[in-house]
Amino acid sequence: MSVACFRRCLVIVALIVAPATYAELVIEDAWVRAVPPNSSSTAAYFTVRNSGDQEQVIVRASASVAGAAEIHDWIETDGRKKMVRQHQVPVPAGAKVVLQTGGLHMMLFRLDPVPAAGELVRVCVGVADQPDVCVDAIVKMP
Amino acid sequence: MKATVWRPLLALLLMLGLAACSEPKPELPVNTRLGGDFVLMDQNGLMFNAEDLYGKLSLMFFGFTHCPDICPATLARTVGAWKNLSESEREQVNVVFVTFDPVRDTPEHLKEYLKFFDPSVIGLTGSVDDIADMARRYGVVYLQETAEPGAEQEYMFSHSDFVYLLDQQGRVRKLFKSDFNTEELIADVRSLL
Repeated sequence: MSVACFRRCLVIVALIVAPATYAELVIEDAWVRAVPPNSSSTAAYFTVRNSGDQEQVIVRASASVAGAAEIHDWIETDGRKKMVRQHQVPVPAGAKVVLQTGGLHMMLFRLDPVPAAGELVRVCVGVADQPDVCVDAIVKMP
Repeated sequence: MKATVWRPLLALLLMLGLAACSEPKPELPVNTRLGGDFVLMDQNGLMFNAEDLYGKLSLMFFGFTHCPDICPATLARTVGAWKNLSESEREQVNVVFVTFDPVRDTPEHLKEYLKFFDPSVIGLTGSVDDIADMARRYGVVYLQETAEPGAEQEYMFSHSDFVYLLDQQGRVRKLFKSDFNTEELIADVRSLL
């Protein structure tokens, strides 16, 4: 087999096995809210951009300092705002989803340790059957 | 009409017009439907009632410390606005956080939690009934919600999220949404100092 043929085969194999959907999700502008040292939880905020041509659905979340992480949204009924866990967060093709205060946000539970302002926290989201997409989020007091 | 007549008349009209232009902004109205007495406990474990706020303005917010998003965000925003006041203005304004989660928000927990934002923030807790009574007087709506099975927290609260501006007599003068405009809040505070 010639070197050129071998390279073409490598490209074909790579195209078959490459996690295209994984590569298409990007996390941007990530930060974590600095909270008091006796807090059990905090929240992470970021933008997830889908550069692909197919919708991606986030089904899990995690963070380096948290025993668990979930994505929640605020629903307002009868003058009360209520947090509701979102088991699936669709990110439409070519679009983005913004996690921000008062809207969709990632909740970080069982903090250990409670991260201090200026530190970095690794936050990750994942779609089914694909590796997580992660980024380092700065902890800050907005 | 002779000039000796209409000139003074015109001057009078001009003066009246200028006076109208310089009329101060109307005072914030007193909300007579909200507010009133309460008996709770502060973060030092001391009894605290409405009269303990008298003599200063108060920026008051209701929430719970296990709330990871709106409550710490509103506390930080309110304390941030308060810190934008001059030192002499800050001495005339209380920042007050009232929990509706007394089971988890004990005085000791509130004290540790609130000093992160500023040690001068007043934290109030109490019995479930006393907190409910105060919330009713101030028009605060909240409900303990049992979490779905397997959720990280056994319960959360759904709640309204207004910041209350009280005057030196403890009367409610204005409600701000939790994402209030800081400049507007500061202007309203200064209008009552």
